[in-house]
Amino acid sequence: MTEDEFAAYQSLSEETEDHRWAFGTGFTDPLEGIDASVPDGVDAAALTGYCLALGDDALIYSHRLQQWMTRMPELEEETALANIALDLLGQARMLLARAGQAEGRSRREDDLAFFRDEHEFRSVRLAEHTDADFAQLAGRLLVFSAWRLALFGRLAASADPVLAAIAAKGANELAYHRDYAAQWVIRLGDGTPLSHDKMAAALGVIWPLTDELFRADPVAARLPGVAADPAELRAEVDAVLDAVLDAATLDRPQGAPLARVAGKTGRDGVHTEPFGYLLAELQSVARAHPDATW
Amino acid sequence: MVTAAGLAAARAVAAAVPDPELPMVTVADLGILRDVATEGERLVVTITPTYSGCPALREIAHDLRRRLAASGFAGVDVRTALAPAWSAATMLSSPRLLVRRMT
Repeated sequence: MTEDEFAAYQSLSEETEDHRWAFGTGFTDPLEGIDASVPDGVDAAALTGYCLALGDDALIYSHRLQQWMTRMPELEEETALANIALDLLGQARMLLARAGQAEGRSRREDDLAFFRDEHEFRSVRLAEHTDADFAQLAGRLLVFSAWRLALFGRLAASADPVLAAIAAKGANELAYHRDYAAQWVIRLGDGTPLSHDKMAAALGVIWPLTDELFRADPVAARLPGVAADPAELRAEVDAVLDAVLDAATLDRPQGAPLARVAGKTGRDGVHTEPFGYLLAELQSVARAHPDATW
Repeated sequence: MVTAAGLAAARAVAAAVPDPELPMVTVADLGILRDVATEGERLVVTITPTYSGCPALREIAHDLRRRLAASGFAGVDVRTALAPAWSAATMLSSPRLLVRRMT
């Protein structure tokens, strides 16, 4: 190894101004050096809620994917999925940091990720679903990434320049996630009779969670020019899903959407039972040792 | 005051910083280094993450400050730019760049 090559590793172990590199503290703000102001005429409270919801989708989904680590069928898939989980975690960090800026109460990404309770999380219930098998993993990722890519494609032109930049960057990543998932759905659907049936069964489980993605969002409605209307995404997402399902020789599942609870869903802070267990795993260390350093 | 010659020297130092994950190539090769400029007495270095979750960005920023300090640049600000988003197309087609596809 040359001196130059070694230096890159050496810097990892040096004391720095942000050496307290542990959960809950000391992380460099992912939006460091970017103008944090909220544009004139934009409802800051609504922007906070909107970024929080999109950040929560990514944080919770990423955690579910992380739980697959060491359990994937092949190393190649393990690496691909780890990268997808990391992309979503990166999007979550930037969106939660943006939510904290818009809120103006000095809450940082870690405060929002580790020190909010279940009812304060605004993620769609699709994000918290536990994939029972690889077919559910592929089918759920296809739906989620097709929807999120359609959304980020619009948000890239948002009147909030920070949200626009996060979305433009994320869209490149989501295009890969969608491609990865679509390839597996097609391979399994158009594979053996057994893989076809497993893929069809997986979509049947996932589908009731998709209606929520296109529900009217009162927070988005307060952000004209900044946010996207979820209902507008349906045609684009449907076209993508239909094309993939067609190639996979799979039928679009029929079935009622997952019931709301007193009219509420994930965006209202109402989640399914497994959410509590996920959150406990995500938050327990940071809560047991707040401001820990190493 | 950073002179024109000083700025050119700072650019050379910044451009030579190796990528922590692929130390055979530099941050300039990879298109991570966006700009080196002056603001009054300070040197402002702008970098961009290859992907949203890139954990190496912090190490790159630290390495930039360390190397520039060693070359005599005391006041250095490292800023992140998200737009335009990084893409593989912004990598230099350097002969040292053996990586076929990194996205």
